[in-house]
Amino acid sequence: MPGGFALTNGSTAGAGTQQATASAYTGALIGVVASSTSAPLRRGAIYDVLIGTNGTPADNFVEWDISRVTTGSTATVTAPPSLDSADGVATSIVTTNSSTFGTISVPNMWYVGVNQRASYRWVAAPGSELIWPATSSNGFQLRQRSAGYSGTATGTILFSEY
Amino acid sequence: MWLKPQGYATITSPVQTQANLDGFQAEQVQVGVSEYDTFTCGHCCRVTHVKSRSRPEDIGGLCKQCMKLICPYCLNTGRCDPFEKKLERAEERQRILHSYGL
Repeated sequence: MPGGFALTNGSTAGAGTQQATASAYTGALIGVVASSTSAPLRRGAIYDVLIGTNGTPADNFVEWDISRVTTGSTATVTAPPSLDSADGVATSIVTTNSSTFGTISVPNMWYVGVNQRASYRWVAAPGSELIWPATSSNGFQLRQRSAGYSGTATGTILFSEY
Repeated sequence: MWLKPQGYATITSPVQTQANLDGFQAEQVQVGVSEYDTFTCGHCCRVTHVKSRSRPEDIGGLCKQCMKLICPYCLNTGRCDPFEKKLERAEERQRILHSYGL
């Protein structure tokens, strides 16, 4: 498996504007889908997820979700930096700070609800990643919602293509 | 914790609070770092957290056909549909549609 890519909705140049958190899922912190314009189509795998909030600290419940999609969001398309500078560019379409999340086919592929003050990290063992098929526009969206917190949130994913 | 976990999760919290793991597991989170093993469902690829001392039947099960750990959602379907087969079906559909120019 070739080297990975890192993607964050934080201070990455060109990552768009961070979206406010709403009581329902309205947008996506980060999205990644296979691209039909890239040849060849490649499978991909998310193997590391980090989440947190960057608003005023308070005790609120925030839900985080990674869902499988069959169409991705459209903006803001970002070029994820490769972890190894000798690697080529990613062929997948990756988006950050989107106001939409595309078409969900399987919700809650990964789900955790935690206090707004808490941060969370998940790391997959090799072979246990979240995998998307080499099928156009198939991939994942990382989303958040909260009934009490309305500030912005941060997310980072590491993924690879193969 | 397992000898061969399929994933590792940490929650870092400055306050004592509760967490909802996977939508069906309530967990008391202590101040500091809380650690969990995870497994990835062999049928749908869903990530499931494994709390310490949790009973196997409470977090899913073992598919006796593909011998993979599966999540409660796939356990309830009662059939074996390995994730690799799902990937192959999705990619085959893509190839067929592409051959039609779609």
